Amino acid sequence: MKELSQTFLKLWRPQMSDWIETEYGLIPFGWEVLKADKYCHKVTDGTHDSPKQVANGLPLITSKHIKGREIDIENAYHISLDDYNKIIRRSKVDQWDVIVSMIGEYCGFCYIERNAIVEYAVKNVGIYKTLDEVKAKWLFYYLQSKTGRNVLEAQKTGTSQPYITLGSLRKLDIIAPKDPQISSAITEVLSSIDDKIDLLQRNSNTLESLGETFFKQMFIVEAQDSWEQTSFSTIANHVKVSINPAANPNQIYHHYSLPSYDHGKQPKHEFGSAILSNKYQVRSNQTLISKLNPGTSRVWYIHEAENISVCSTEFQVFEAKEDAFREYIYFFLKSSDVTDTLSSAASGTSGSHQRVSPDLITNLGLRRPDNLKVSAFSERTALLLAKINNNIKQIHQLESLRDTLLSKLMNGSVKLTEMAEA
Amino acid sequence: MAKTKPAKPQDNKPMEQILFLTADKLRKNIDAAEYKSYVLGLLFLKYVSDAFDVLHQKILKKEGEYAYDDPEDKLVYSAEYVFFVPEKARWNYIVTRAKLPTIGEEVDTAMDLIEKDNPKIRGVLFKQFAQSKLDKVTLGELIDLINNMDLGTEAAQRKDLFGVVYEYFLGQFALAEGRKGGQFYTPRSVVSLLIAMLEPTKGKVYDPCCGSGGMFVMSEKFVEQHQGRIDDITIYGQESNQTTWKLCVMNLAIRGIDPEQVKWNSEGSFLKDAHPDLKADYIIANPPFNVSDWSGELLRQDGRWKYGVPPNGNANYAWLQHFLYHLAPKGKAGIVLSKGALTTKQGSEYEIRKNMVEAGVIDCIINLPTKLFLNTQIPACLWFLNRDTNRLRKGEVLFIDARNLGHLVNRRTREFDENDIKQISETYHHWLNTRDEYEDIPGFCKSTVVADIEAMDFVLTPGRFIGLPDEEDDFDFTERFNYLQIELHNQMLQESALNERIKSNLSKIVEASNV
Repeated sequence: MKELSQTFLKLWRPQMSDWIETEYGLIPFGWEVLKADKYCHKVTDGTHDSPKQVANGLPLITSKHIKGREIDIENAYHISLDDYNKIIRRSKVDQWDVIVSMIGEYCGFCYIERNAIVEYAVKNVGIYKTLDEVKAKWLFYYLQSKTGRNVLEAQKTGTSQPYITLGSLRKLDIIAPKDPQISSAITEVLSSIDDKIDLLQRNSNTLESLGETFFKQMFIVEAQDSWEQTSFSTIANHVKVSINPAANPNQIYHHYSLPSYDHGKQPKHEFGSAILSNKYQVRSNQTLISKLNPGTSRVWYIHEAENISVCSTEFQVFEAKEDAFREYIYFFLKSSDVTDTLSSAASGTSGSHQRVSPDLITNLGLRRPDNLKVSAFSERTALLLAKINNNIKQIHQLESLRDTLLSKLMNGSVKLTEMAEA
Repeated sequence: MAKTKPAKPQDNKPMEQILFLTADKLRKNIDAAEYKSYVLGLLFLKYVSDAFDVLHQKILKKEGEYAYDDPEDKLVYSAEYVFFVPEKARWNYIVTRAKLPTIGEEVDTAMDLIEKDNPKIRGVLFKQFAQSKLDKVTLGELIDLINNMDLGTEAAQRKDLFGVVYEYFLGQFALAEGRKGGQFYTPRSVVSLLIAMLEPTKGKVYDPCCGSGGMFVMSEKFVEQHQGRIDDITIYGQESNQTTWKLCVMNLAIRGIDPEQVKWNSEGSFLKDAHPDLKADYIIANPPFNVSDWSGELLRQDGRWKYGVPPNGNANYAWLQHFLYHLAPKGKAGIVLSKGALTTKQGSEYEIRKNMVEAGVIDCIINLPTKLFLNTQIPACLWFLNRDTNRLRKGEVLFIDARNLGHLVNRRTREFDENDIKQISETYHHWLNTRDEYEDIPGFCKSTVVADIEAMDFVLTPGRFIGLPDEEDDFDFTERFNYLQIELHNQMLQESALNERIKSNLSKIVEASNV
């Protein structure tokens, strides 16, 4: 650590001469602008063939599967082992590669491969091979920073469909400190935040699984014949309070939409003027379930709804008739039985827009457990849901912290000192 | 031998390209939903005209058996199941008129002439080409495009041409038409499977939701393949969409299948059964899935509900009973249904299913793989009903899990090939007709008795019996709970370590000045 602080001290002298001018503005003394093929061990790209799809094989990741910072492996199609081996001869993805979507809607989105074992082939994506953790992380964060994004954006061509060529990926300008210790210290700040976000996500998943496990054990495995066979509507009210946000254009609404569910379950804060159609009112301790494409379970427990919260009318709002049933309702709607029932009853001509009627949800069959059992379940799971809610909030804060720091750290306008040592 | 051209299966692709071009041509004048009437109308004209031409030429040349026939004698054509096409309706004539401003009227007249000479299709053909909204230059170009398709060849005539075209338009324009949910074309490989299972060689074949008639066309093919005569089967059908019904009539007529008993009324098979007294030997159907507005509330007392009154909110069990009602005492039915119907406990559906199982009318259930259907992702299954009370396997149900069969032809579509169809249908036939040739195969098929089904609470999902469960059924609470607890504990430790790491990192941050 001592060495590291000295590096910073050397660098940190508040004089103009400590900055050098480049076409990207001032960068700290000791940093440089260099081409990606100099920065990386190798720059290559995935296959351009279209190998046949098979039922059981290895996933083929293409540009559209790199949507955020993660790869959407679940929606990739599978190719045979032969095709896989053929592809990886030329373009194998290894640990500490940074891959970039080269074409389409997600053109320019990046992903950093942190795993030691990689079992997918790639198509229509660029591969920056760094063979080095710090270099990979630096490159990844650089491409997320304002400068990096602009540099990448400038490479996009194509009128109907944006794309980036392999040639321009190779010649991409990268700004980086010459001293790897500086890169290491800076990426460590960002990595530690990302690691925490990742941990919180995993933690939420574990807590959800725990709740589902309790639910299955208590209400399915241990279900009793004496429990009355009834419908969902006997334990939950279907709440349909319609709100027209556009009528109060200056009011801020907390908007629970399908996209916001998919992006980390964080409601969006929007002015009434920005929300075009009517919405349903949402209150604390209610559960939302999506009637659109029920094959993908979208069930949202609203722990605390801020004033005024609304949701898309694709969501149906349910409220427990008795408080003890709040958690039960959430885990019931999340159960695979309910997802299966709803998805097989959905209709709609287009595969991407299948819907179920709200009546189907209220008529879902269940065996009403005795109150003692429900209270015990509520006691076990209420805190789990509270912690999940807390995780979501923390993730949100960590993400804004990371994004605030990122661009500034990556262009040197925010620096690190040895102050922590003092 | 060397002189004859080899049969070319490749004319598939250009056809779709031509279809696309035709649709594209019309786009500026006509709503997407109306495309198909124009295109299919012209295709029909070309199709019957080409077929007519082939025979007409043979007679003119006095080839073989036609040596003494009169080329203008209508009876010669009807004997060969070929439409007689009057001179002014012949395609060659139409093409010469394509560039005239009166082309719209000419096409309408041609349709009229064909209808007059062929009473079975009276009122069916589309006759609105003279409408002002269709620009005549475009119509002329459309005729030119279709002119390049050779539909008179045996290969083209043998295909379910209208089915292919209909399927194409359905796929392309389903969204534009804002069609009601649940209606879609039954893919050929599924129809083939249904036919291979039922083997309709003679008797009455009924489809109460017949669409463009795909089931009938394939039945006819089956009969031909088995050296039977088309006249051995009679077709009964009903369709509630008038455009689709017209298509069906055209489709059947050009193949020489009598469309007389294929009826249309807008009320549909439930409210206005077009064949109330029909007892069919075979029913082959793909009713729309999960229809919620089937007017069930008006039909509470209907005589068809022998096994229980179906719920108002879903027509699946109404269809099943409609089929059973129309089956002859030894009749068999093969039906495509949403998988949800196998397990549903909505309203009376559980009771109806239970009663059907106990009455022994269910023969076989097949679980289908995903992606077989073009326009829907809803998981589907096949039901086979059998009213023969003296059959060998009465009181037993055969479950087949076909989820591992079929192959992907592209990323979105799966098909069964001949071997898949053979494997499934032979398993069924061995089971149905013999005691010794059939054997349970773990993961594929299982023969069960009613008591087994009762033990499963009358859930008919094949996976439950065959041993390929739909979801993990090996739930062990203690094991899962312990695992999750350890995971949670580790996450908590990691969390506090990470908190320290972030705190220390953030304390090093200083903002640079002057930049």
